[in-house]
Amino acid sequence: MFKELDPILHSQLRLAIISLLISVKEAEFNYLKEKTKASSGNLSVQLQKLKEAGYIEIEKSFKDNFPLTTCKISNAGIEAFENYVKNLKQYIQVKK
Amino acid sequence: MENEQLDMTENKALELIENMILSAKREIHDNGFYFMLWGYLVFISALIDYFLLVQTYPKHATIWAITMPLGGVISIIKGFKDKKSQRVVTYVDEVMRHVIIAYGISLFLVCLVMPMTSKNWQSFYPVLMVIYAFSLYAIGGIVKFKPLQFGAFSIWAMAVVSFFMSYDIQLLILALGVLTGFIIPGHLMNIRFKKNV
Repeated sequence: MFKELDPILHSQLRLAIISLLISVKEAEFNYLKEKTKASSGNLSVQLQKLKEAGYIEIEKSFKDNFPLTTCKISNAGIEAFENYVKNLKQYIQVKK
Repeated sequence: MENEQLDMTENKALELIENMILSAKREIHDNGFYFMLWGYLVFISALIDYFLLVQTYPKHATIWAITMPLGGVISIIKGFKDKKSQRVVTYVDEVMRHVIIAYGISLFLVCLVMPMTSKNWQSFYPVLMVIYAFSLYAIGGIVKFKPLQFGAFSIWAMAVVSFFMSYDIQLLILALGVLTGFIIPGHLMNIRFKKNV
């Protein structure tokens, strides 16, 4: 029986964000923007969705008097990502 | 990257995950600066100490009191500057931070306690070299940079020889040790960093 792929993660930009955050301890907004090549507005919206799902933690602070947004994957996010990859593998194996 | 792509295929999703993870893994912050800084400072200090010692100058070791705090100040300033410009903290950075803290504490304790007991001067530099080699080997493994680990083996070997040598010869061995363990790997790391930027 196939489990449905998590709709929160099954979106190109959100999946890219989570894949980046799973590889690092924390990352700044501009780093994610550069790596995903997304627009600031789009990235902000998707980060907010991931935060609402409890998959990431967002910390807002200041650096050299400029606002700084730092993102970090949460334990729920790690679990969701692992489940997503597991389910994805099942789909791919069946299609082979 | 587009907003919503629920029609993304499974293969495309897997490819995206792989690309992002690889892209994050490529973050190499280390340009070998600290290895070069401390390598040159110890190299120069050891040679100056040696030459003053053979000239029978009584305060031959004074150079260390100048160069080591200087290295500390430069490292702290550079550390703050790097932290400001760092946009991402990888797990490698995190592990490195703990290794460097452990290295710093070990080095500080040895430098603080061993000179208090004059009978232990004989093993002061060899012990320092063992600590150098320990951290070089660990860091080399963490950042997957073999020259640091080769450097660590050469310093371990030199430390063993050094235990049986007189103080003046130990200074020359120390200079040679930091050349192979810090200066050369530091420059190689710098070349690798420039290639990746």
